[in-house]
Amino acid sequence: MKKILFIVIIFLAVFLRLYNLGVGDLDTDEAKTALGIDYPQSFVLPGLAVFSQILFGVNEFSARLPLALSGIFFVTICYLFFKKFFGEEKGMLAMLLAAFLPSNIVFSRSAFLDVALIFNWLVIIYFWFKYEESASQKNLFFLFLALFVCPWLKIQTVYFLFVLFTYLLLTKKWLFWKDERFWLLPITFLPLCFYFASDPNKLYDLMTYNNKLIGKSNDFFLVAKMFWHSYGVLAAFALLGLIFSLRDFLKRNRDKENINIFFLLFSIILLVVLYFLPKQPYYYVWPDIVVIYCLIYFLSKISNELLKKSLIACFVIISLWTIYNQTCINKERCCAGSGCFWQTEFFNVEKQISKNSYDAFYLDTSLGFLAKWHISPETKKLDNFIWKRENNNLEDKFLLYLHPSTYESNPTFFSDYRIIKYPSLVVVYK
Amino acid sequence: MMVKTGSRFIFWFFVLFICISASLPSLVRIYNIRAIFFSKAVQEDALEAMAFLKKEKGFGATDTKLERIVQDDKKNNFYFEYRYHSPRAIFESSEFKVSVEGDDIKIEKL
Repeated sequence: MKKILFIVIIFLAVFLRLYNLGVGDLDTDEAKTALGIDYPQSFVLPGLAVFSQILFGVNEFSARLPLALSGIFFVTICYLFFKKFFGEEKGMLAMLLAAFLPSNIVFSRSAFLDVALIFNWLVIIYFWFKYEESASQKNLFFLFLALFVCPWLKIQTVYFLFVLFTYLLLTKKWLFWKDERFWLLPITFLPLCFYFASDPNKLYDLMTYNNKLIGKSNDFFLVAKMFWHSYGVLAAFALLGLIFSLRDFLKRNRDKENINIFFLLFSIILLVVLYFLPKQPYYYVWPDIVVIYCLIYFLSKISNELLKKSLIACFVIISLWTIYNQTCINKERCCAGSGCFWQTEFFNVEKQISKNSYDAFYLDTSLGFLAKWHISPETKKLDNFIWKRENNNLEDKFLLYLHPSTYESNPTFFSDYRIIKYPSLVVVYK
Repeated sequence: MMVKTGSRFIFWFFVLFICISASLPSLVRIYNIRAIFFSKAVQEDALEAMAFLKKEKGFGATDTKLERIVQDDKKNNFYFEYRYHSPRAIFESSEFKVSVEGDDIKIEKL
């Protein structure tokens, strides 16, 4: 029975992540991944997206496939982690919750890097606590491998390393340096530090990143709204689980105390980080592991079996409804993401708006193209995105256009440009 | 649980070996562009060279990678690697030499 349930959950996890994966144009940051651009993040995932396109053809499906697979692996590693430390039943429950988690599904279906990042984080957590159980060389070796890959996936992984370090500081006090895991953290990060130092462009971008950000979400209601958008009703129940977990910590409940401390720390640091970061929806996939842990913590506090099973059924139905309503699954993707271009040139755009100047202007997109931007006089928002390569030795004039609705409402605005989709863009490029 | 790190000499040797090997290409590049870290004038010339490449060729900051700097008497020669960002041409790149001497900037495809 358990085997059948396991297969059914995995099948549904695969189906929800791969069905209609190629539908919809690539969003701005997705296009960056698909083209194999490693700036400002590292090259591993864009490289995998390119490799996938070499194998399966240049299209949206192939570009998104590696990230969709990492979403599927996330579900399996959830099962392994919770089975190992909390038993078979909670392992299945974690797997079920992960398989239907709306944020995880939506971002597994796009070429954003964050799903692979949280998969890697969970692998690290798994071997981190396996090492705590048995300090064998094998566990340490796998922990090293997971930590070694970690910085190359996305630079924002430093927040997670901070969680690991704070955990060591809390649990080992001033003897943290005697723990072998502590030394793995800086050593595995060393190649990335040199990588950034060897490329002044990247170094400059990294150092000025915080000054360039727009839409900082340091607004409580905005953070809550993003959480609600990503997890729906699950966010509220996860918050209850977090409160229970905090209560047990204060009562010095010794049951799985270290794991509880870790997840408490992880939740608090993530909340602080998300509060200060820009309102990029894909950042809100980071709390997936914490949300699953907190939901399981909440459910474990319910002694009535019928109530528990009804709640699990409700979670699954609500998640399925949330997923069904996502445009990227059942109809054409709606690309509303502004991505790094908007961040990079925020101050230029603001200057234009403050001067009441709505002329088009050219900016570096970091996608390998210069962009022609338009600010709408009505909305005073930069809602027309067109990419144009100027003075290009390969192709003089082409465009990548990602906002169909804007185009459809102002066709004359763009009449002198050729509009092409990403796969065609690659052909023209070559 | 505390474990004596000395008992795992081979493991730590392996870890250091892997991490230093992964850092080597970057260390070589840092050595090749070391002038940029020590001289304000070279830094400014490098920025001019990048701006010139952008203006003349339409290359964005992500297209180019500064590989090495060779200094003549008064001239700074910047060697940029230009990458075609496309899944079909991911391994293709070409090298450009940008020579900066005061206001005089020249681009040469190598």
